[in-house]
Amino acid sequence: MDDSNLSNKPALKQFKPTPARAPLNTNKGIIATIKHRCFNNIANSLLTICVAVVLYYFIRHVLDWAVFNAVFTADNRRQCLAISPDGACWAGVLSWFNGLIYGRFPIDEQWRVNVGVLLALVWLLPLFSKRIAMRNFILLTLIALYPFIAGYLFLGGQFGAQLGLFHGAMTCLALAFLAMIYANWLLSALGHKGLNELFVPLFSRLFKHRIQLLSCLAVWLPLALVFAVAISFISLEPVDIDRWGGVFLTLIIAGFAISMAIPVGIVLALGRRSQMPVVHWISLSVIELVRSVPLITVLFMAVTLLPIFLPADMEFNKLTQVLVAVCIFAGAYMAENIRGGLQAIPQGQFEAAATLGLGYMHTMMLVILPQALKMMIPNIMTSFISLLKDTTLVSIIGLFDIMLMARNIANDKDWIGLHTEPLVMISVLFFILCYSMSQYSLNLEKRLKVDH
Amino acid sequence: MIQPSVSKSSTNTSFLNNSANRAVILQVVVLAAVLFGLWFLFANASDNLNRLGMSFGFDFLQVTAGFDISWSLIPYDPGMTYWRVFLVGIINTLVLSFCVIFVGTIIGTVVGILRLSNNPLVSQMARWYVEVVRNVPLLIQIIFWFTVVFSTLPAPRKSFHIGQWLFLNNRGLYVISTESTMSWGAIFAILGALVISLYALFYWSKPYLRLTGSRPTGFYIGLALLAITSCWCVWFFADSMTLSIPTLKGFNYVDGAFLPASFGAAFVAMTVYRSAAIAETVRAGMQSIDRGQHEAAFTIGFSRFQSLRLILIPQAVRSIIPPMTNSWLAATKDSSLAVAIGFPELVSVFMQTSMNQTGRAIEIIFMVMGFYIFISLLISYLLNKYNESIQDKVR
Amino acid sequence: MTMPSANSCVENNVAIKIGNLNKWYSDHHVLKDISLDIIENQIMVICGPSGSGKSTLIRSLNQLEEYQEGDVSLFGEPLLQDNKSKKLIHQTMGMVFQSFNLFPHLTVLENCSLGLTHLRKMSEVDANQKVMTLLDRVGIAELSTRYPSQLSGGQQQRVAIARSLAMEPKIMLFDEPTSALDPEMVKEVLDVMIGLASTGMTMVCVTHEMQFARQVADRVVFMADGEIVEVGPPEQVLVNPQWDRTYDFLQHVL
Repeated sequence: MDDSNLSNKPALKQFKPTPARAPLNTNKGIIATIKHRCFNNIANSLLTICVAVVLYYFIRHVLDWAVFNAVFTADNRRQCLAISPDGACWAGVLSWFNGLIYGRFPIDEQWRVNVGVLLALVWLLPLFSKRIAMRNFILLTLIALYPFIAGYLFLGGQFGAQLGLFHGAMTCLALAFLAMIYANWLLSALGHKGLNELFVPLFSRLFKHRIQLLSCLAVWLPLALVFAVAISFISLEPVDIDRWGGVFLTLIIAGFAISMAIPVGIVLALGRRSQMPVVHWISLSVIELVRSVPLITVLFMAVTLLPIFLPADMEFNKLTQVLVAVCIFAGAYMAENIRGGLQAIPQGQFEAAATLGLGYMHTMMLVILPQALKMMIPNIMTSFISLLKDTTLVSIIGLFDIMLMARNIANDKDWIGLHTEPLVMISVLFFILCYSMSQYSLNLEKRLKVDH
Repeated sequence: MIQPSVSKSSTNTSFLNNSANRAVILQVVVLAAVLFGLWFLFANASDNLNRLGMSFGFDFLQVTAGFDISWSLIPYDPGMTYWRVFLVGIINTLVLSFCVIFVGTIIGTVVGILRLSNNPLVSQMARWYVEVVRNVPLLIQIIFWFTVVFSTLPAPRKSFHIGQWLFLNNRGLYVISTESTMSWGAIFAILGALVISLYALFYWSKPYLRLTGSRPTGFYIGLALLAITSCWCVWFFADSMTLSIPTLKGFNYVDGAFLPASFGAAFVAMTVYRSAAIAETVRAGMQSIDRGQHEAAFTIGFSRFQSLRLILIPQAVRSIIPPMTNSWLAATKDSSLAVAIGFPELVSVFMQTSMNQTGRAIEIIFMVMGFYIFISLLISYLLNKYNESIQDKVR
Repeated sequence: MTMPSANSCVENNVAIKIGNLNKWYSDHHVLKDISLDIIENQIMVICGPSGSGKSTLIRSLNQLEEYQEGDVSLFGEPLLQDNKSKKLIHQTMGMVFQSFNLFPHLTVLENCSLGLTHLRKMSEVDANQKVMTLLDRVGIAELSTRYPSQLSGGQQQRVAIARSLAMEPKIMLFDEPTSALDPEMVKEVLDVMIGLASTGMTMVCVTHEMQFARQVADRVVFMADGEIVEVGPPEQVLVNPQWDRTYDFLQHVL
């Protein structure tokens, strides 16, 4: 068919779409929807009614027990039972609340825990601001430097005495770094130049290379010195590691595991993908062996075998051993996640990087890993969630994490036999934490899908 | 991808810059570091063992254990060796895992399908079941079931009971059982032979059924023969058996079959936990099926149930099997958490009790981890075989 | 829009009568007052730009999509959106999809015989025999033991046609059967459809193959923006369109 067949254009009628209108008899109402989806046939109606009845009784019983018949103030369990025999005795949980959160950390020193957690949050905060460059770098420093501050705050001790020189120096550097980030952020928000940019003109005259780095150091090191002077005047009461416990200890273990999992995982994953047979097989066997045994056996191994396999004069506490075990365990699982992400990167990316002349390190650091990690965020979040849940296992080998603190309430002579309420309490806590993390990761997944 | 650049550049670059050389050097360094690390560890270990006056070896397996185990499927008494303890632990672990996997998979599949229900009440209930269960640590759930549910059952004297057949109390479940003069091996062998011949009969007559719509006469003759044989077997078994009725003696029941409360708690908690994980797997597998498949099934005229059975589930199974297998493996590993409530599984009897008594940490950890690694290798081997078989059939 | 039906077909029954069909996707009005008669033993081709609602219309006919307003009747039997009329639809209509939608876990033979053995309760031998004649008709009898993934797109679509035909529908719906195919495979599918048309099957085709429309269609429907712009015999709609929208579309397609 050619155009000549369609040549009667002037005679054409003009087409105007009919305006859209709303449906006349809308059956979009809630009642119609319920009727349509819950009572559309006999079997479904029966199912709906059964489920509704079961749900009603379940919810009513739970609410009766947990809220309406519950006791919130009492001195001991007997009093609780006297007031309301078939309600929850939250009074016991409340009276142990401090212990559940801080373990046996001395009450006067608990502000240090709060400050430590607050500092971690403060360090994370710039990550959510789009104004700040090098956010990955800040995350890296959080993993590398923050533990020193935390160690100082939680362990306490005097500079030079309990607090070693290296630890002290790193603490000061960490504090200085945090201060520098915030100073720069504040200045840029006010429209000024960053602190280190003040030095750039000076250094560009003196040096040829790495001017940015040097000007950064020029701010950072003097700041660290200021903090060092400040810290040497403050002496924090030393707190024994055995007194750590509760949510605080759980967060320490989970936080450590999460922050170590990614670097360990990246190394193992790259090793497993390596062309070099030795590296490949070592990484492969570490990953597969660790992944095929339960965490509890790894924990037992750390507690019993580390003292045997390390020099006799090394001192251990259970927490260090557990941290080592959890770190390897989390790393092996993370390695598989990251490997999955690396595999999802198309071969074309490697080839494009190769044609640009990038070496292995540059290809990985600049091209492959940023993409892979971004793709892996939902999976990484999932393993964080399972890691957080798995931290409860340390209670089996006797660390007073939140789980063991909760079980301990039943041994208190005032609250003897109070099992249910503490368990319900920490279940709710874990549920809120894990559920919000998983919802966040789902959100992130949706956003990432839109991005690509 | 490096070959061409190597051949060109190796002429004018130094030895260290050649990437092939660098790879070799790196590997040698890594290997040396690993070997040194191992040597360091073993040197320390032998030092420490010498210092503590301990030795290394598996001779302890022949030593009498001397402690009792609360529940065992194979005969066990404190006079038996540590090797026997290891076996008891393995069997208890496997039994617990198997029960959890079996029931958890059934419940999980049902919940997973319910989550896709069109009925919002049903799908939301399934959803919240899954969300609550999988966002609370398994250990908390195990301890919850143990301390809050199973330990608050009545004492043995006030057991729940169904006649003299079944007693449920805070120590566990006591059921009437049979003791036979015949060995269990013989009974299982005969039972197995019966089942296999029944299967063979069906298998043999299947092509005939497909072609003609009915089974051949030989099938019915075989069925009758099998029925007679099994009747005879049952009579023979019954003759050799005596009933063992649970009876209260002192504070506890004796005789009958016994399941400890710790088994019940671990089983319920792990089954619930596993079912939530499997429900997610099943849901993801069902959702991975293209919408067009539903539509095609609908236009041909299949009912919802028929399209599930004939078209959707067979396809979903392919994508579900690998994650499901991993979930089963995880269930086996999770069974070690039963140690927290004293169920005598491998970690509890061997890694805790035996290790405390013998002090042979290295050997025991080696054996326990070996067992789990063996199971995991076995399952991944089977999974690979399955994947290959699918690859052969359909792309 | 009035609908001038071709005089030669007056004696034929109306297979599907659509009256004032309206459909919304939440707030989006996708089908606006569609009224159309599909005559028995005729071939109707629906064409139009993408997003004009032609796929939605054909999917509403066999109730793959719900519609909010309108009356559809099948051989005089009014169709409600309930299980009874769904059953009637399944017995009378077959559908061929753009993306084939073959069952990947079944062989070609099993794909086609599944409905016969499980819904029509036919014995496997009879079902296979019947399917083989159909596969022979669409020219792929020798591939009956292959799996869909081992076939080309054109072959898959022919299997899909055979699968629909196996259920002996009175009406066949084609939803862009050739648009997912490589150009060289379009012809083999169109040939099968032309062959089918010559047997007097009632067919409704959503397609962009104007050549096919001119060759076999008894009537052509042009849709745009969720409504019917023009209906008529192909020589009228495709050669002498009355509306500018049709003219513009044909300019782009031809």
